[in-house]
Amino acid sequence: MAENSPVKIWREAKKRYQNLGKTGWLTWFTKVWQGPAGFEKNSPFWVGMVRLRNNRKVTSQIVGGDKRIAPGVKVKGILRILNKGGEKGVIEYGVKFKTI
Amino acid sequence: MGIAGIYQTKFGELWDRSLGDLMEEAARGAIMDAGIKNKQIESVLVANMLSDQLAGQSHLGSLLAQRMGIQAPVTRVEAACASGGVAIAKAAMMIKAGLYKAVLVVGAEKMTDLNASLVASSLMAAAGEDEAETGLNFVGLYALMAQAYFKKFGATEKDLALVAVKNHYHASLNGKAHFPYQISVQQVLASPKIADPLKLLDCSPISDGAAAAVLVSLKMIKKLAKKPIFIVGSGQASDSLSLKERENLLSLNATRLAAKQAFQTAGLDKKEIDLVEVHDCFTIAEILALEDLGFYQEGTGFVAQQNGEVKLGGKRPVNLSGGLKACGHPVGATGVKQIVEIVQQLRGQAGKKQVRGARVGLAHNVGGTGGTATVHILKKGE
Repeated sequence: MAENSPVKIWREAKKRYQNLGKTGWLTWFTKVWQGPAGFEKNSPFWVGMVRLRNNRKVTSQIVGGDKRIAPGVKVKGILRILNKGGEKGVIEYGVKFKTI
Repeated sequence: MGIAGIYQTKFGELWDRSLGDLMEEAARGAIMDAGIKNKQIESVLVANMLSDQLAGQSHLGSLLAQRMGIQAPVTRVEAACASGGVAIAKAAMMIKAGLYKAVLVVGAEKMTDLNASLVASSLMAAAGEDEAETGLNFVGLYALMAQAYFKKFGATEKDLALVAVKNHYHASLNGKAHFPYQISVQQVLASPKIADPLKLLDCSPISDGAAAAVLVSLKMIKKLAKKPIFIVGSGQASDSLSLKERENLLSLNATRLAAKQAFQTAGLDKKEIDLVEVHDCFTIAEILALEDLGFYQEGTGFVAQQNGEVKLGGKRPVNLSGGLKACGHPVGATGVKQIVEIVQQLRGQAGKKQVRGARVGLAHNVGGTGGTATVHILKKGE
């Protein structure tokens, strides 16, 4: 993934953390074995669609271990590093969902 | 309106050819096939998605004008992987509106100058930002659709593999295909995993290539061709950029809407379609497309892969070019190449992959995960 500019990260900060602490259920998911540029070191990883309690849907990386990932499993938004390094050295935080 | 000229370059890893080379070859080829002169082209549309990032050139209209020595207006059209289909739709509108008598459409993409990982990231410009941030690429997005389809209808990885095997068989009969050779179900199933359940051989490749078509008025096509090919139906529709905004993952609503428009304008029924080119960027996409276009009921598209009715010699062959899967997927060229294949078939010029007595064909082109879709129906004149 191309490095986001610090300005963009600042602009989107409010939106970026809106799902922190929210819970929902995993609907569809896939294990990505070969991630795109910027995600090579993290592969394989899980990505899924989460239906939140307010019925909104979110696409997110799913963490918490292979064995717990299953359709309908309960998940919670937690703080994680999304991207770091790059020329500007900005560490980009955001929300991933963890199985609970 | 009619299609007077067509041309496709070889698709593949064409390291000795630049984007400009490919565009020019396709443009000159289609104009020559139409039997007209450059100066008779009144407008040009260039379909392309990624030339800015992958070829360092975004002003494609001027690039083509310089190479062709033309001064007619040249306009770039971008709609992700549906750029070609949208350019055909807009050219058809221009002619139908009476603005021009002859419009050239050139679809082209040069993708293999950079490594595959960077190209895959660039392609994510056609998806939602929220999706790109998760590390999903298009394989992952279509993998989510495949997971949903498997769960609802009981299809398997082997059913998807049959799509790849069939399209490679068709490509083995097409000298311009990126992969003109056959593969087996076992090879597909044993290929490296990309995003479960999709494997490397479920995916269309990163290709270089171009295709072109000359669209002309009814009056002009009757002068140029003894047995003209007409565009009788055209549809285009849109949907959300992100998959999460969809009602479900089992259908692309933009395809359904575009197909409805195309069949309505053509005044034809799906039973009258002899052959189809659909957007099989991944094997699951062909199955969903056949259902969304109305050829199969929801949840039965994969059965058609098992019984062979979508193969050459079957009831209604699908992706005789080899599809995106095996003919290749130079993004901007794909939608135009589909038109080239249908015209070849209707003219009876498709060689070993010719469908005998083909009269009506349909082309279906998708951008992203269905954010854009076009459907065109072509008919051979009596």
